[in-house]
Amino acid sequence: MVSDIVLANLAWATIAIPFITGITLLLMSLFEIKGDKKYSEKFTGSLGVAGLAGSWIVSLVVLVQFFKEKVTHKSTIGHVNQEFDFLPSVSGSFKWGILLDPLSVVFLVLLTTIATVIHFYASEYMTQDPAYTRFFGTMNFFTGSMLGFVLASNLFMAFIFWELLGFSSYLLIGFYWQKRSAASAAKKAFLYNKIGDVSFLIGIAIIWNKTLEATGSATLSYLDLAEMMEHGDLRFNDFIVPALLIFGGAIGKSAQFPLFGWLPEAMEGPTPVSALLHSSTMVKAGLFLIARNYYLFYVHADGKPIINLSDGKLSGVIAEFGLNSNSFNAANAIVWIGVITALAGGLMALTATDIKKVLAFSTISQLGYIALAMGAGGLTAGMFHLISHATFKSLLFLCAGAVIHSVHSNEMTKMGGLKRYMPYTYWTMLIGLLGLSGVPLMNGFWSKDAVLLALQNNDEIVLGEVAYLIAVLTAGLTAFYSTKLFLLVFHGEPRYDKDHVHPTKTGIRMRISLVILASLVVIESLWWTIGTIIDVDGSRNDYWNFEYALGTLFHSHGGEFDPIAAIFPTVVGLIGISFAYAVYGNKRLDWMRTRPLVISAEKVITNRFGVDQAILWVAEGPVMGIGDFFQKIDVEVIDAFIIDSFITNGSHRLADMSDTFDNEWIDGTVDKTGIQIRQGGYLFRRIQRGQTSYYARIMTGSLATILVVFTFVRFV
Amino acid sequence: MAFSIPVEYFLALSAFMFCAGLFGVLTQRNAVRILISVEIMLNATNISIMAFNGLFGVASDQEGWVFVFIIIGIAAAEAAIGLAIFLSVYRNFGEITVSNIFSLREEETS
Amino acid sequence: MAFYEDPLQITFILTAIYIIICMFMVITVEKVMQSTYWLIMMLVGVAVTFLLANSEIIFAFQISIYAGGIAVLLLFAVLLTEHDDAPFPNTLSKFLRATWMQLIIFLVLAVNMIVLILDTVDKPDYLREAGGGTPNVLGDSRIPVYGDENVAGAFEITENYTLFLWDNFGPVIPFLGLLLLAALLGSVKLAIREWDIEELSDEMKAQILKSEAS
Repeated sequence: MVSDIVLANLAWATIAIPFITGITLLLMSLFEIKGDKKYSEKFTGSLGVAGLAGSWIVSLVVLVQFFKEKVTHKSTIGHVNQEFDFLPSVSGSFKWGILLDPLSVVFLVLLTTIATVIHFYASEYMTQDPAYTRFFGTMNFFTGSMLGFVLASNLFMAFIFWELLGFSSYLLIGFYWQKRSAASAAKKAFLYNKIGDVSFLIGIAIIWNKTLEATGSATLSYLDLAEMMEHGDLRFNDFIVPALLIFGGAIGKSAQFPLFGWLPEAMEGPTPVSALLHSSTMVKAGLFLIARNYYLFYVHADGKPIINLSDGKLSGVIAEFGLNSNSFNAANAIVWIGVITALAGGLMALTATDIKKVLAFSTISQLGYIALAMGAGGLTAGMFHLISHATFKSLLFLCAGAVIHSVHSNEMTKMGGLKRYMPYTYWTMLIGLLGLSGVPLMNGFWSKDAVLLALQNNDEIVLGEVAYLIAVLTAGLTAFYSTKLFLLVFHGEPRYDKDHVHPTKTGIRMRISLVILASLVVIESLWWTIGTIIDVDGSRNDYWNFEYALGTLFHSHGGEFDPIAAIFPTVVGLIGISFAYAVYGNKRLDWMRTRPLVISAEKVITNRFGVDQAILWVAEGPVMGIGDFFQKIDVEVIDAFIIDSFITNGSHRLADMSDTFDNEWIDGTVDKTGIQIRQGGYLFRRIQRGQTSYYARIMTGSLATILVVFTFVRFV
Repeated sequence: MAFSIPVEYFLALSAFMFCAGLFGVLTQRNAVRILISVEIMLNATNISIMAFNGLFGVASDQEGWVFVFIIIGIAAAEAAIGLAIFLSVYRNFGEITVSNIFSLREEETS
Repeated sequence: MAFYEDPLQITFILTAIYIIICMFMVITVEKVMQSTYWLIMMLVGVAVTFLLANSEIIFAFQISIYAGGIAVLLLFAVLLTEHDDAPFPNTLSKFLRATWMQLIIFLVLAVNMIVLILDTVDKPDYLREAGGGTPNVLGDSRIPVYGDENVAGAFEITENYTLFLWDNFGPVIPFLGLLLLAALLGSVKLAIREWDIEELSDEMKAQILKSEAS
């Protein structure tokens, strides 16, 4: 029996371990810079990996113990909530604490697992890098921030770690800060994220205010908010604006439609950073925030909040959930932003030639998928796809890193025929891409199907059918560019410079990491396939069915796989694969390039639909206009009128007056005083002329005066 | 018939003599005259001592006279020393006008 | 008793006037030598006041040491320095301009001291302190000097005085002797002069050379 306190302390340990190692490594890197030396990579790398590995082991313990203690029965799910005051105040304290529930625990394990593998991979990938120590320090710090965000028990603590996440991602994206492009990419990522941060912060403030108004004691704790929602202390309809603002934070962090421009730029960081950033940490933070605060977005049809944390009881079957009419707009906004993001990401991935950028756009596309699933009410589906995506996308990035390490180029046009040089990478990347493409029976297939099903089942989405079709089309696009990437990199004629580039085998540690992640993908695929298709105990409501299990744990629905509904997306995906194979597999690379429609479309897509330009315009136009306006005011009013005519002349006159005053009064006084004192000196020096009689006169005069004074006193 | 001189007479005479001697000391420029004025002051002191001795002398016999005696001795010594100093000064400066003898004075700087 | 009824007081006042006249002459007379003469006469007057205070022995000291010895020393000083000048300007205005400060001091001090003395002596407390309640005892002591009845009174007083001087104030005599000896030596040291042989007359030169040769 492990008490709640022990569990919470273990959770603290998972946060603290990477932070401690990270800060230690950063200090060591500081000493390296100061002392102009370098610690052995074996030591610093081991420390960096050990920080994550320790966190991983502890998180596994937390997982096992949590499920042992709290999920004792199918219908009873407990949670651990340890909170204490951070900034006490009368109207309500800012808390600092840990919330362990299925959502955070599952995400915790996913995060630590993938981050550990990526760290292990990076310990070889980053060898010979001059800033090896700094890299691992920042990576550990970054992962620790994400862990803190995941385990936070309230919005305040979450926001603090959210900002730490943004800061450390800035450090990581700008890791090669000597390169201008990296520095500007870091800046861009930071600024784009800041927009979301501001939105998030305003949302928090509104929630604080509303709870203060409603109950007299403000709170930001997830549990308190959900409980108040459930008991009717807070009206769900009041929380549409803060919900949208919090989704705004997710837009910034998770690179949704208007603000996705920073994610491809973020590829300037080292490949392990990209892998970590895209799989489970940074971009998933926004979506995790939505999942965490799902009670703000959806309610059950009977008005109960969707995360029923307070009593931990489930009434057997998950209640049929429907959209509250007032949350309609919020949900629609999320769905449509997700759809647009998915489609735009897919299209941009088609045209990109940089292998990492293809994967980055793919990430944007998949994030859109997750967002639309959540918007459509499919919390389970969203988390499901998030998990599968985290697995295969980290694998794909690591593979891409291996390829880049081997060819020393990011451009797919300079690769090709790498299959025989790096068989491990070949096979692992194949597995990852199969998952991404949604090939039947792979993990991506199941999760994508759940997403599409969630969208299909929700009747209240505006133009829901169109959204569904676009989502399916995106699935086809995903399959197309996945195949294209695979064929361009590993098949066909070698296009790299054969004289200078000699592709090498992938290193041992990198290979191990790839194999681990690939096996994770395979395990997930097998598990989910078997769990979904085979009924272990005769019914589909079983923990073997992963989606159903997730739904149960999250108090949402799940496990409603429908083979007939899955046929259409699968067929579209297979068509995409076949088409790509037809185009790129048969060495007909130029066929696509010559179509004028394709060329103009490509131009539009390469410019990212002008979204970045629009943002620039939106940001620049008003800002510059305001700046011009104020400059005009400054020049024409302040400079011309106030300063020139008023202040300048006034101070001129004042200066003249001061000058006169200074010369005539101050100097005059001083001079006069000096002259008078000198006159007095001339006067008094006469008694000091060395004549005894004068001294005697003064002496006796003084004595006489004293005597007179005595007499005077005596008689008066 | 008992005759008596009030002690105020002595004291007033003494005070007047003392002040007159002081006036002489302050005004005279010849060193010998200054010394003479000092003698006047000493005599004034003597008279006052005599008067006070008379005032208290009924009880204390003639103790005050001892001081008169001492003052007379000191005046003699002073006169002797003064004579020697005047001689020396006169030899060195050719005069004993006090106001003209200020070799101890600091040199004028301006 | 008014002062004109008391011959002693009349005598004292006359003596005081005499002293003041002499003093005035000492300070104002033009020649230093005459100033010294007037000083001698003033000292004699002072000696008379001592006599009026029943102290013949101090009278004798005053006459012999002061008016005799010290005055002679001063005469020598005047003779050896030989420098006469008018101590004060001729006209009153010049006199006032030159000595206004000293005059003020003189007047202030004199008036002040006399007033103070008279005031102090008139105080009953002071009179009681003085013992006996009869402050104006001078010239009317228990033992009058020139009384017909007790001629030996003067000797008794002198005896008292000498007893004090030799018994209670024994160290005074050697102290004074030492002081005078030191003054003698110092004045000899000051007055002695290094003679340059060239300054001497031929006779003296020959004499000195002769003595040195022997």
